[in-house]
Amino acid sequence: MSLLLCRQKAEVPFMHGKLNIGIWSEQELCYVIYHYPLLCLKDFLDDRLFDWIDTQLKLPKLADALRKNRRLGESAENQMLYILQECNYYDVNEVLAFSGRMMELKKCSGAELVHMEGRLLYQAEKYSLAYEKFAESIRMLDELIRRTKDEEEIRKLSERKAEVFCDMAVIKMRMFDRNKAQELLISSELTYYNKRAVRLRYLVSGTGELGDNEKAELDAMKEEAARKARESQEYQAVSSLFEKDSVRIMKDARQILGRWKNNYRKIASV
Amino acid sequence: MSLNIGLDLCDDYIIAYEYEDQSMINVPAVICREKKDDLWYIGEGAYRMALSGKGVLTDKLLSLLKKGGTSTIARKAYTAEQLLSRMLAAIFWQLLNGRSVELIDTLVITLHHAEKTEMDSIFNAAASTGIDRSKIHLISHSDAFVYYTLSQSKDLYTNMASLFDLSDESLSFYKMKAIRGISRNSVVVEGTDLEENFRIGILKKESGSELGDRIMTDAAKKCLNGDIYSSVMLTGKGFERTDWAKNFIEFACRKRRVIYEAGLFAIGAARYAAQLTSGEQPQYLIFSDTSIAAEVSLKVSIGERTAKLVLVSAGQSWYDARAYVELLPHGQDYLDIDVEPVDKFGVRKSARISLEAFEKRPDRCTRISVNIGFEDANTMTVEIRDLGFGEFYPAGDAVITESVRLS
Repeated sequence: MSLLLCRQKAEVPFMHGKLNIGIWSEQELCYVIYHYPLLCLKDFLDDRLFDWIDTQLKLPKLADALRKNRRLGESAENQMLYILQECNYYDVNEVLAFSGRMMELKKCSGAELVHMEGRLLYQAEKYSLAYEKFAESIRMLDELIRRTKDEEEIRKLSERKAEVFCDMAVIKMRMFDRNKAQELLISSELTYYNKRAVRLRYLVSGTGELGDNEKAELDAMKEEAARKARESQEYQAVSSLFEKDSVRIMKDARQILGRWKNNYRKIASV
Repeated sequence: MSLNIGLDLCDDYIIAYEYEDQSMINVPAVICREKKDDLWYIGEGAYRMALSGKGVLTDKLLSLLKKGGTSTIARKAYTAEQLLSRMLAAIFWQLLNGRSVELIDTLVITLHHAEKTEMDSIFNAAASTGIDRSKIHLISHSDAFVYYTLSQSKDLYTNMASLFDLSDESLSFYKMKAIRGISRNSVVVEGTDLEENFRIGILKKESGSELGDRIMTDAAKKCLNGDIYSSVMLTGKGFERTDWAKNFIEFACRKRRVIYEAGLFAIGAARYAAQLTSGEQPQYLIFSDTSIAAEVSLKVSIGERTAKLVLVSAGQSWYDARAYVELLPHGQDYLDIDVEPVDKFGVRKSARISLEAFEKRPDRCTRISVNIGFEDANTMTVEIRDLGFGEFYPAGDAVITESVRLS
């Protein structure tokens, strides 16, 4: 239990390209590295970041050390560890845990890493980018399946591929493309039968082989989600629209639609 | 070259003193606006304009400020703060002789007494003349007396030093004692408004002078009795001439040095301004009516270690004491503010302020700002805001405000 003393924030934020978010302080920098390490391995730990650390965060010693490490060919993982250690946002145990996670990530295949990257991008609501990463992961898994002759290995790879198809279907649902989502879920089941795909397909289209209890559970989930949506502010705003006169309806409807379009463009953008 | 100014602000007069130049202006605290045109006059010029019937005069600006009053001139209502701002702008223009107010390094304003609301208005009025807020400080007359005395020869305060301030409607007495300590020197100063006072207008007549002399002598006997004083200083309009106070002066001069200094408070304030600008470490810790008699601090994490972050130092004037810090609570939803009295018999305490009113977020994802100010020497106000966590978690609207008694 403690109070971390904060230095002044940067006047100009550092933009994280993949997350499309501005970083304003050393604490936020550590947060991004800790929670999204896979999104920081490439095109992040470069001179642009080091200059920002130097001039905006006013940490010239840290910036110089990072520049020197880079010249000496230090890995991105070690650079991230160095930042976490120096900024003291995370304690020693947390930094050790991060180090452990990075070691585990090194054991993952390329396809797994790309899949994880996709999931991080999904968390950050960068759906288009996440979808591309998942598609890339599918291609890599296909290549691995094609090359291997080991049955057990093929089974594991297929299971992972099915998981990726489910993740892609979820994104399509987010983007209101039910048909494509349905296709992906069927692909998932055909690649490797998995309960997740079956349950998702039931939620999307009401079809799928599920027991009555499971169907009832999913129906209840859907009803609960619908109820929450009806009680949301956005829903109330739209339903109260129709109580106004026709001129106001058109004006307000244009505004609401404009907002929806912008939001959709944002989540669909690269 | 630095530019440091001391300003003595009273209902009757305003004295401005430039430290480097040693130039002073003393202006009656009156302002006048022409009835027809938007032209303004201060001091004697204001009196002349008002007497001619062409202008509307406003005086006692500090009293107007206290009441939150306004003055209506040519059908427009002006707040006391606005009038004071114009007054100060005109004074700076006169004092600086063409130089811009932006060149001022430090402005210290000294007042007899002030409440928090007046102080805010005075700050605003001074800042609206173009001076950066961070360069403006407020101290009491007691503090200004100390800064003046400490800048003089040491024999003035080998024992105690005293001051009589005789203005149009009040007589005040101040006494200070310098204490040389093992770790730190300190000065204790007290100021009192004496019941015995008189309108200095009576001094124009002989009978009035005699009465005035008797009152001053009695006051001096009462105030100077019992302690040993190295000096008796005199300031204020009433002492511009001392021929009416023969008995008083004779009594005061017994084994003491007697000094008259016009604008003593403004000079003391200017001395303090110069000290602030130069960043020199004060040789003495001052304990006056406005001093905070405790150190206020927080325990914070810097790196791997826990450190004490001093927000307010003991001895700081409450007029001026402010602190701002940003923190990230880690594993706790409260703030403990430590108060340590200077008096070794005082009780240390820790004021716990809950942060539960803030939005619940993951640990270390709520940056908070802590803003500290004072209502008086014993009452600290703490304002805590939720700053969110960058673009990950936007700032919340909740503000927590608490009053903490220091003793």
